[in-house]
Amino acid sequence: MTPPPLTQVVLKVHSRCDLACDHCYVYEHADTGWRSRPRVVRDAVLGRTAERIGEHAVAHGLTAVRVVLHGGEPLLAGSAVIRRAAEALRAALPEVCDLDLRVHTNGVRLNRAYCELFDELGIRVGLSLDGDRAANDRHRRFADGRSSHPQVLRAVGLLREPRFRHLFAGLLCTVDAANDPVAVYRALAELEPPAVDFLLPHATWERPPERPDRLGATPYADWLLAVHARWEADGRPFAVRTFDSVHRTLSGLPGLSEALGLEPVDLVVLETDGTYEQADSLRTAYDGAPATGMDVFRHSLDDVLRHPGIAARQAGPAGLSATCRACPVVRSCGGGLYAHRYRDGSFEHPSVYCADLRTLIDGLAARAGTVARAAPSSVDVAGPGLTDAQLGELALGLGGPETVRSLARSQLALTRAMLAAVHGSAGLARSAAWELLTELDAAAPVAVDAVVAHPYVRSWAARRLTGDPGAGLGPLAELAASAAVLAGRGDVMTVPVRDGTLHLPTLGRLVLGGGVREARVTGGRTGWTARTDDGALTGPGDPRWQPVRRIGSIALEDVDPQRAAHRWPVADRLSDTAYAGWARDLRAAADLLDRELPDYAAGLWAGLTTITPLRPGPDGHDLSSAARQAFGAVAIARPRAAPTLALLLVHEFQHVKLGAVLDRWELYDRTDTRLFEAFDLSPRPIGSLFQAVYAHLAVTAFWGTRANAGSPTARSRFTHWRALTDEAVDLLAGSGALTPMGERFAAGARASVDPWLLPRASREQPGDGTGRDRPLERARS
Amino acid sequence: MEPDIVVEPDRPPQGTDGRPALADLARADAGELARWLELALPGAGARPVASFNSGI
Repeated sequence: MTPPPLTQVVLKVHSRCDLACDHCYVYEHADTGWRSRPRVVRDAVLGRTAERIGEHAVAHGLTAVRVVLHGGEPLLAGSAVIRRAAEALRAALPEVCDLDLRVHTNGVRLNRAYCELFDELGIRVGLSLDGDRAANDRHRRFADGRSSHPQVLRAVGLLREPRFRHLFAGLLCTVDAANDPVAVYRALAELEPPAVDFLLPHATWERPPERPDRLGATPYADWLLAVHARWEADGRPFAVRTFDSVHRTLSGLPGLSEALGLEPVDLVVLETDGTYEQADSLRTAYDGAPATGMDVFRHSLDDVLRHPGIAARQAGPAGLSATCRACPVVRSCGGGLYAHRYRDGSFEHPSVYCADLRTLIDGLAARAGTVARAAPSSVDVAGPGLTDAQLGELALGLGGPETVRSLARSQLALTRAMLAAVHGSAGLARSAAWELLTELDAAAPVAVDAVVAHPYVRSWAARRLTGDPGAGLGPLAELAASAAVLAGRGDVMTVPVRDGTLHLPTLGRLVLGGGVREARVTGGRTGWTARTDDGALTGPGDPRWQPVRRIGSIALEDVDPQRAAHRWPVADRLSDTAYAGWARDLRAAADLLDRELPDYAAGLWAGLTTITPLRPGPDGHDLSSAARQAFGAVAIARPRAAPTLALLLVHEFQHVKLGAVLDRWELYDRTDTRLFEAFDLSPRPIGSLFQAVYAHLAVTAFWGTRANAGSPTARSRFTHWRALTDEAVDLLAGSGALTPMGERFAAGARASVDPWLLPRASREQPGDGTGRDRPLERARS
Repeated sequence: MEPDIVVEPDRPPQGTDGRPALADLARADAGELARWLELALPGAGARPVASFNSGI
């Protein structure tokens, strides 16, 4: 079996540290490799490292790579080195591969200048902090014994400033069972981190962890369970990777770190001298344990993949001891962190934390009431399909109203399944939000569907299921509250207030300001009310209420925090003047599309539910986006002219339609890593080529129709896009990567483009363009 | 169901008959659901990987 590619690189930019923490695995445990390494990474190493990562990304068609700048203490390397590392990495990666760049620091040197640099370079920051001062001082001190706590708090303070808040990735807290778990939890919670992880101190069977008799047989589990109880009681104010991992693995989803779960570990460590190492934590096992004998100058990342130590951590259950394989909770613990299994020269043992892990997992399962569940075979998760005729319409790049509505019904089924998976993997003993949603699903399905079909419900659920720590559970209560409002039965839902704002998806937001933590929303027959925890009663008449505004039935979404699902920054709440401008332009664009591109417009009006305004592009460039996980929405920076808006709408909605098709049918070989050049863009993978072709079927038709009306500008653009689309269709059809359904769509694209290649007199538009459904009609009249 | 109508309760969705209720869906194993959704949700159930432990 081909090993999965490496997508995570820990890049050591400095091999020394300005703290002398006595629990540090780099300097205080078995491995002594740091002694012989250069202090600062050399430029030649940075450059070659970036090239190696870039070539690996190209060879494996990677769409994202995470690099963690690490140490020692990485900030000791200085801002110039960090800048060179970031720039070299970005330059080496193909355009289609996102770089998730992070730095993990002890915080001592983090200052405003560094924060500004990280903001500029897009580097997110994780900090190590072991809790309150007493807890942190137990280990995290300078060499002369001074506390590092004040410096770290100052660093966290910087990251909490609104300007830098988006850089704050979270806190890592190493557990010391002798610390007060509640005091540690409270100290961390006061800092309002977006995420926390509690790390078990590195240990092996040969160097076991501290276990004072007075703390019982499983002190680490007991400590974590005490924190968990507090975290639950507080309403889970931030993500905790350990707890989320256990909840997820108990329900069959992957864990979130190499410490828990059976997922393959796909990371490599690069030292300051350019040598590759296995997991950093192996330093705790024995001197030289992480070594691979390879380096960036002589070896590729593919070479590293073949190293037995890397392969061992990708083997899943087969890489575990017989004891672990037979254990009922192996799906959750995965044998624990690889390094913690070491004994007598082998890692084929249970973790030295085995008893703690079992107690923790069983404890969390008991609290959540988790039971093993068989998947009901009768559940049609994917929902209704499409007829062959509807697929034929879509293959041509079209799709009338009924076809697009069928896609929407299919999408709703997918979102409902995702919501169920979100709830099922949350480890909630009881969820009032879920109970209300399921009750309304039976009693008022129209209301539930109206909310669940909102495009950004799926994007939130998808983020949650893929382990994004920023996707908390708050939206579940918001969805239930919105459904309750629409149902109008008098149901009550308590909703957490986030950043001073009560969000009711599809309805709007109430800007309450600081100090309010939650609101009880009641959806009555004649409207809704919200009783906030400061005792105030409010409702839609409150001047702080910002409703979602609509143009016809299309929402101009500028309040839902989940709308930031697009590749460009979304606009803040629009002024009344800006909204009026959008309304005017959208009506003009709709008139144009109905008149000039009716075959595309009919499906567009049946499926477009949401336009999300984007911030203006640099230099006035047009910006637009569709997100695969947000069916029905397009995001657009308001262009200067209504015809441009019409073009962007029809272009982006092509992506929306094709994305919905791809959710149900494989159109191409997803393992094909080749890149294709088309539309004068940088080389793209087959999926991007498919999307570009599909969108430009509409673009060609748009300019062709306008050219026919006699516009010289349109004629030159038509000629341009027609030629590029023609070439790209050939490239797609001849790619050798298409499935039979993909070939059907490629043939449809050819059938759609060909008429535009004929002389004008003999040209006919493809498709039958059945039906008209124009929700803007009422608004225009 | 008519999911293209997000916020207009006066336009009722069609075709809710026969579909699995949210409560029924929730009885399924989340990992199983994610694997069924693999085309729509790559990464959740298909080829997940574990993140670096000493970073966040």
